[in-house]
Amino acid sequence: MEECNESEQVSDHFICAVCLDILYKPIVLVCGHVTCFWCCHHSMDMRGQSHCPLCRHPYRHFPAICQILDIFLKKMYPISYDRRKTQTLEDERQGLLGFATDIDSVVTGEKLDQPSKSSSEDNLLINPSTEEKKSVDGSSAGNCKQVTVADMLCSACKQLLFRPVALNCGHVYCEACISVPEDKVIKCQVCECHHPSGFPKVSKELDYFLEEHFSSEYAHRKSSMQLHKEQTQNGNSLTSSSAADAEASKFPYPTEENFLQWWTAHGSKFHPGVGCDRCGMCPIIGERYRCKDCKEKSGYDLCGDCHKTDSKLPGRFNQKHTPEHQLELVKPAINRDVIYRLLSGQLAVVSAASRNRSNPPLNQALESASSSLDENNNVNDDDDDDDGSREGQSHNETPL
Amino acid sequence: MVDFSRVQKELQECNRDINVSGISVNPKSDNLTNLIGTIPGPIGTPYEGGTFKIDINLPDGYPFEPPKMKFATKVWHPNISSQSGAICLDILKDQWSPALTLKTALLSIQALLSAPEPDDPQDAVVAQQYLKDYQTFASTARYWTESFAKTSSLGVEEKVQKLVEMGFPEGLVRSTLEVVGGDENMALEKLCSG
Repeated sequence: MEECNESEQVSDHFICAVCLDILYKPIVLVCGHVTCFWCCHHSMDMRGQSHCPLCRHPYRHFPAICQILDIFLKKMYPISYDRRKTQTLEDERQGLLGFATDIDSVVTGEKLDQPSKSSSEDNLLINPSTEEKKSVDGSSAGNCKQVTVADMLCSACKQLLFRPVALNCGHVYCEACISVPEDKVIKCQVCECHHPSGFPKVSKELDYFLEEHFSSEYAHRKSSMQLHKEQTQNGNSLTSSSAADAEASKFPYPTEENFLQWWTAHGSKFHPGVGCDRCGMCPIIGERYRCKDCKEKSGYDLCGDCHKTDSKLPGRFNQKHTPEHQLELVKPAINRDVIYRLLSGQLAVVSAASRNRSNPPLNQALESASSSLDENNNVNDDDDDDDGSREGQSHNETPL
Repeated sequence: MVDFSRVQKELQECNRDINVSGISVNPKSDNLTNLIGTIPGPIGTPYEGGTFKIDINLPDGYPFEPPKMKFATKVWHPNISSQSGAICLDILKDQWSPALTLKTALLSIQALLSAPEPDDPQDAVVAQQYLKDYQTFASTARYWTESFAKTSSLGVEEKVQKLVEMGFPEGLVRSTLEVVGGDENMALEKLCSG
């Protein structure tokens, strides 16, 4: 690969911890850590709870691309951005990133701006500044390296972001601008999407950058915030995480240890390897609706809750889903992965028991049996990687 | 497919502060899937003064799958197999995260050398010894460090001469040295065992 001989010195704040390159199509996790779209998608566990690569904070919804940060990076580092864009588009065309031979669905290119446009167009009346911002962006693309405060505004208060937090839909707010409603589920004011993952944490990297780059405006915001805080004192009670906890207890995710029991109780609702294209829940637990008309390899699926909302958004992977498409309720498939995990769960139970009886030969036999199973599983995963059911990120399991 | 641009960045980054960390990673061959890492034995442990080589194999899914690492240098440690060099460390298994790097993994291995976990052993014999007779464990570990993890400053000819002076025939000395990769202590061991 080429050297980083670009004239741009990319700030460490915008280096993705996974690919160690400048962030491309960034997504912000609920813990405030930022990675590239594909880096996050590839780090996710398609069969259970995913964890932030940096802090291991558990999450179960794949956030949407953070458009404000994306536009900002494009302006700030046009050369690096273009290099990443060409590289990613090429990888996508070659199917290196997941969905092979599906040339139509180039995921992270410009086309992916469409979902945000369509959603923000819905809100143009309420939100005229979006249009304004877009025209600035259009004219300045490529040559303008200077970012202004106007690029980094809170979706609610329209001032420079202060202690920014991103919602699951990718919209960014000041921490203080998020209000937790009665039912404890935060809703984005721009796109009206629910934010299912509990109160988001401040994105520190972005916050440091804002403080560095817009020091005077930031200081101004800081002092006015402090004043505000003193006046209202209580502010937001950050209790929305309890909503996420409640959801988590409703549909607990399996662990390797309890998979056997878990599957007996919830197996009929578990869709490993399938994510919701609206809220990003992955894997889907509960009802799953699959689009009958989306021809893309990645397919288009919605979870039960999102199906009720009549989503107008196209898919996360640029599927050309339209509201006219028909969705059907799908039963979970008992796939090789589930069988494997059930089996390996049993093996683990047996081998633990045999270890207690200190019976090394049997233990070894079981170990080799499970390791050969492991190999088989990897082979399967490789097969599945290319197919559309978005299955089997070959996350290696080590039985025992 | 391995993300080679990331591996390349990692190598640059790691070899930049080699003077501070003492940890280095270098490709074994032209392709970047086989690498060799070196870590200095931590000070204040029986491994002090040794330089340990670690075989690194990057699976196709790297960095989304953990790198396969094992000791190429023989080492006496409860969590490292004295036979195969296999390492028992959670971050190389289910606790791997793509934000970890080869360097941070090697740092963790170095930390493992300082803080063995005998309750979760890889080598049961070593772990037993560690728990029951720490003195013997420490001296064995120190001996292994001396024998296997210290690069001799002697050249090949000097090694040959030294062994010939001990009374071994020159031809045998040369072939044995070759077999053990030039390590005079291992050669001596082999020569003595016949």
